[in-house]
Amino acid sequence: MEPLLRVKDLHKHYKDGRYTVHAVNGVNFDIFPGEAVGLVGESGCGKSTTARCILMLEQPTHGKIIFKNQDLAAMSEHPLRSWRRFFQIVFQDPNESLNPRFNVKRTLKEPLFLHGLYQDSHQLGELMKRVTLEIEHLERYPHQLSGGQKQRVGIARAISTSPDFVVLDEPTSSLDMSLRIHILSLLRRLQREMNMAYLFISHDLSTVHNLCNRVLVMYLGRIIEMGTSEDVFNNPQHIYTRALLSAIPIPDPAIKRKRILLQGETPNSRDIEVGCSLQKRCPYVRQECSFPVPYTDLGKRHLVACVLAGSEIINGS
Amino acid sequence: MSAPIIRVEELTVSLNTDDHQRNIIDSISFDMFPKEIMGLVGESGSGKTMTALSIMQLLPKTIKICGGSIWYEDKDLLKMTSREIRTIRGNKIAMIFQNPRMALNPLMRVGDQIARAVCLHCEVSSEKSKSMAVELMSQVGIPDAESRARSYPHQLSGGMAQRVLIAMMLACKPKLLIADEPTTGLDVTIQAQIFKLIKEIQSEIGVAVLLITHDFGVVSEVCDRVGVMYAGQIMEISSVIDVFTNPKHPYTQRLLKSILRVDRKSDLDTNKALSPISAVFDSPGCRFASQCDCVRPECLWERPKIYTDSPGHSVYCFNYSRDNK
Repeated sequence: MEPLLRVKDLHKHYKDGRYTVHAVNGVNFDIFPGEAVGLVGESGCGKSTTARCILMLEQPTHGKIIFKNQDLAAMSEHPLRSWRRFFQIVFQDPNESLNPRFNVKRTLKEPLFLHGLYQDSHQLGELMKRVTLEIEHLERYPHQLSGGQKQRVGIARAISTSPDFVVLDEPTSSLDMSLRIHILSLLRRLQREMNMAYLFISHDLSTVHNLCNRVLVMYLGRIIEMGTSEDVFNNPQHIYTRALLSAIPIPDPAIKRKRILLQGETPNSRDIEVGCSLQKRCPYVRQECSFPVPYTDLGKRHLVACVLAGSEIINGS
Repeated sequence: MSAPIIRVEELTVSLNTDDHQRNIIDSISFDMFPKEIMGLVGESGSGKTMTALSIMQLLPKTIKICGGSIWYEDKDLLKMTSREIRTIRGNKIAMIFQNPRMALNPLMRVGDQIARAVCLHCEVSSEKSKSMAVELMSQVGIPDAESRARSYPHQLSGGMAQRVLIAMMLACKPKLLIADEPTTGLDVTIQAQIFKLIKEIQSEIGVAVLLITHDFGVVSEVCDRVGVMYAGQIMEISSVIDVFTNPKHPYTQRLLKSILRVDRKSDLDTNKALSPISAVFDSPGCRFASQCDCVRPECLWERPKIYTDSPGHSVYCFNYSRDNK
């Protein structure tokens, strides 16, 4: 199958006085039609910047974003605008991403109007039904809706133009547990009904495990491990992925695990080093780590940027 | 078991708006024993933070305590003057907050802020307090404490700022530490470091910890006992093992089902969403009644009595009370 989206050697650098911040530092991946890909990592690792570059909300410093065989990064503003109906985004905080002066009807109408897709109000009713909201909510303003309802309006707005690809930027992190699971099940249903591909950005690995088929793990602007959910969650091969997974508390007092504690904190993305980005914090660091680390393919496209991938040291730890 | 260090009895806290009064905490009672870590879990708006602020006597002006008592060593904190409270707050009962950088003074070096807490509670000279501050900072695992003491809060990461608050709290060797979601907004790897530190301190100086969280994973790994709150009422109090293996209250059962786990996939489609908490505050009975699958007629108008399943496991639910068996 032909990939829907190919990201090739994506870089995004920002100038910060004398320094250059390497927010995204050479990212490569494909997304196929109808699949849900999770992009995980800690704050500041470049997840959101990657997504914003893919959607061309930020101009990448370098690299190609090939969406349906068109390079979005090389496209000029005007044709890009008409392409935007095919890729949409749901933001983290619905309070900030919904216009407080627009009622739901106007919020939902706007993208349809812009792309010349608006027919009649019946269409809006359909959309509301899709995201399990009532027709009477159309007249409400954001402050009259609960957190979960607002996020559903955000989802309705994103899917209104029948996109092929939707970026979900931490859509459930502001919600309570019982609501979170409800929104996730809604997202999964919509994905199946409309055959959309998702890029699900989150620092919450449990939601990613439950929604996504494939996972990309990012650290300091690079993808250090990618593979199917089963491979990455059940058989992680990068020390960072292992440390990240072992740090997540499991709600079951019967389970006792050994925790891999990394030393110190995530370094600044100003001082980018040659070689593995984890070398200063890794308990198993060795000489080869100071040279560029290629991906090791462990089969089924399970790629790991660690010299120890697949070795005894990792699997015995 | 030894005597509790803090006893909350029928605490009721209300928010008064122009037209009506709403009990945001509705007659809750619990005890805390020395050296234990007790979790308080619930969704947002369930009154966890308000419970903590009532114990600290730091409630905002619009919110008033209108009943009950909080006993600390035979003294009722609610009947104390503000001068008396100040000898206890920070000294015997300390608190660390959700957003550590907001809890620090942005215009003061962090070392000086810790030194001030030391000065206030330990009666030492200001020279001595500064060196004690540096000592405390290295005790909570801040590398290069001497130079870090000269930083301002904005120069610290969230994890470091939380360590500074913990150092400040350590200055007075409190009997009770209230930790209000101390790791929200921190990454999981830093969260693991902070909880490791809290547990180390807890066993070292023998402080009791009241940990407020919404994460059952944290409860399972850190706490000894747990209270489950919903809409200002405590639904169930039990040991951590019991709450996971034998949850009694329908709300606890529902909440546990909605947890997503990282180590296995859950079924996303079986769960009904709960309606927002704000809708149930005016009910005179059990506030979960309108969404409960095993609701009884009395649940709607009468507050359920406490039912003790086994020592240390109590449930507020009519389904378990004796006359209904």
